[in-house]
Amino acid sequence: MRAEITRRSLAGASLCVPVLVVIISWLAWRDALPAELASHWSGSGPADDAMAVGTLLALNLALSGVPAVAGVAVSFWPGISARARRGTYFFLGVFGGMGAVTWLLSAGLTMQVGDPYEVVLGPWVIVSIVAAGYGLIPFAISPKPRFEATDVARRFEFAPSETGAWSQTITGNMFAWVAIGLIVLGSVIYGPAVIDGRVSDQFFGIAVMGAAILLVASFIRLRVTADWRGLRVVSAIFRIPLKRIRLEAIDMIEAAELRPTEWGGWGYRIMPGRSAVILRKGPGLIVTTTNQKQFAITLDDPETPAALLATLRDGNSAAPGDSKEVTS
Amino acid sequence: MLFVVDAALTVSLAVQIAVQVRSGVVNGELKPGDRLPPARDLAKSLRVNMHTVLRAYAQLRDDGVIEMRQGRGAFVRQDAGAGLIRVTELVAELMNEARKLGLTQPDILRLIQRGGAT
Repeated sequence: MRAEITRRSLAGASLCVPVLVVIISWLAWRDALPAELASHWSGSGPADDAMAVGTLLALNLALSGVPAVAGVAVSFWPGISARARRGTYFFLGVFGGMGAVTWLLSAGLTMQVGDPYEVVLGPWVIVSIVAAGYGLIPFAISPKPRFEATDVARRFEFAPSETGAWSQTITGNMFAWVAIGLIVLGSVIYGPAVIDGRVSDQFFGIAVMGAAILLVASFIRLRVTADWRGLRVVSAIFRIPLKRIRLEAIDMIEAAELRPTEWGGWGYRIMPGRSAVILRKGPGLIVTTTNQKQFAITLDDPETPAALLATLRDGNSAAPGDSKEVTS
Repeated sequence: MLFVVDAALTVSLAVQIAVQVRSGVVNGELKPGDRLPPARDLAKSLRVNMHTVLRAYAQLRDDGVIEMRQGRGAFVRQDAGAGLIRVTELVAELMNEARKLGLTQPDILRLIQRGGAT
């Protein structure tokens, strides 16, 4: 808990840096600054608008100061989830960083040139774009969200000589329709080129479209297996392993009601610390690994694989190595 | 579906697997057209020899429960239902009892034909 508060405090403090940069630079440069500073550029030429130093300073102080105040408030405001806090830090950091860099560029470049209408932004525009990435700093510092996880209570009572395995093939009709849609789209876009023998002209596009179709098609039929090795999701069409969680890496297993809105939508979803194969709203399996990552998959009967994996994980079955492969 | 095998039982592992597939069809867990796990995968999952699973699948195919499609795997037959499974089980029971009595296959067939005629 202490480490979490420290990280939150540091993330909040990092959001104060842009406004401090604005204040310190103004204090350092105030005697050398002209009355007006370049404030707007169109295209790559010189500035087309200027502002009084006081106005521009106030504007950028607001742009970098509001995120600082909000960042500190968010750090200590109770009841905010780690996920929401991280997202807020990121957006505040984007605005704070841009506010500070806008001030630095306007003041610094005008100071060098003298006449604000003669100031050319040139390659410095890249710096202002990069400044938006400042949001990643408080985002990275803030504590990672911990996902709520519970462990399935049901266990199978296996005799020492018994072992179990669970397997199910699930069909994602949605992926089939998307694949068909992509094939139709690809035929419309690239069909004329193929017919005219101009494949080489459109090779990159055809390759990308083909890869996208194969990727989507690999999710049409999935084989999900739970056994002594852990949980595996394999494309039943191409036999490509899509997800593999070793039994030793499983911390908690849960059979729960999955809502696409909570897992980033339908399809194969990858989010920070979480991934999921969501084919519909309904029952599914959530596996939390020992490194606190989560994987979810919609299944018709998630209770059985959940109980089996929990049983195998707890060692209530013939574990690998306990007995040799048997033939009968 | 869940497969559980017990190496300590006197019943062969192939029979144990076949019984579970039959039960799956009877209780509706496996529906006509459903695909069974590939023999190699199921064998690895259960830590049994692949030929054990293939033997179970062959037995199920002979009993008319599943069909094997070349290169595509094993599927529950469209006409496989609880009734067929029950008859298959009764036939197996009949064969066991008949063998205990020392009856040969022609004897059993004659008995069935006589039963069908009455």
